[in-house]
Amino acid sequence: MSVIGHATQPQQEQGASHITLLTNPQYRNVLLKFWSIAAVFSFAISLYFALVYAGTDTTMGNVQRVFYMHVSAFAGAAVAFFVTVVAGIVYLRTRNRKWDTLGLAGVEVGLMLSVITLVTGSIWARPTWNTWWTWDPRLTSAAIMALTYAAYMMLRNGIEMPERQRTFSAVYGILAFSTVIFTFMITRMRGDTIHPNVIGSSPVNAKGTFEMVDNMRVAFSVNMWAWCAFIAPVLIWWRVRLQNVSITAEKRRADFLNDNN
Amino acid sequence: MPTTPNTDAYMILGYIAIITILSIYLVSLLLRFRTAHKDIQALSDE
Repeated sequence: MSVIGHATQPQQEQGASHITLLTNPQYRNVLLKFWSIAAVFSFAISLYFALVYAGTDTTMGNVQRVFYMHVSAFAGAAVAFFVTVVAGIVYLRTRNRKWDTLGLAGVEVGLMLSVITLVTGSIWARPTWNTWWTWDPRLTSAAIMALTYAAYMMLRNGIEMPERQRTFSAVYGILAFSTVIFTFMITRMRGDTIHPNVIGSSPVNAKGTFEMVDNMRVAFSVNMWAWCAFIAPVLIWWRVRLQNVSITAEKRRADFLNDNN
Repeated sequence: MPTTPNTDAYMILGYIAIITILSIYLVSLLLRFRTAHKDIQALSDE
């Protein structure tokens, strides 16, 4: 007996109503509104957990509290860049412009979150490593990752033919994700990095490692949820909306010029 | 017994950086929305 193969009449109707919910602009507006409010609340809650609930690390002092958002912003960036990969694959298969819009939104939001990761990492490094920046394998790979996605934005804008621009962006977005995987893996592959790991054991030379007590684990989990499930997705959605409005404006401009010629 | 270092200034700097970068991005989104809507409005009026 097939469980998935043949849906019964009520199941089909139920499925259809779910699709209607997702395709109806009114429901989408309500969903985006609620998700945006939830993102603001989740950011406020994550601040509380990082600044109050987590407690002070005795070795590093209060600067350790930066780590909750530093790691979570990177995770949020990874989610955004992964959205670009999925959007790129679907665009190459369907050639539907909306997937290109989603891919672009993923890169822009991911890039902004990567900048947060790099800046907060640098601020954390100053009192911990006694330097703002060092060409450590993890730091270098994170910088390459951010630059790769910054290059996406510049190269994309440099291509004038729309179809070629979209195909290039889809392929580039898929390939560029290798820098995210590399950045995540580098501290697990290279023993000479001084960057500690949060998930799994740290490299031998890591400086600034710390044991997470229960409060810290909870604060870390709350921050990860806030950035990956609310902040990054909501920003991507708003960026998609902006792109759609910009496309409408472009179309109107083109129509206007055509009418006057 | 080792004392906990005072790194409060770096923590404050870190959180100011996060809020500043997020705010700049949100304002840029808002301004781009406003510009696109103005363009649409202006072209509709023509």
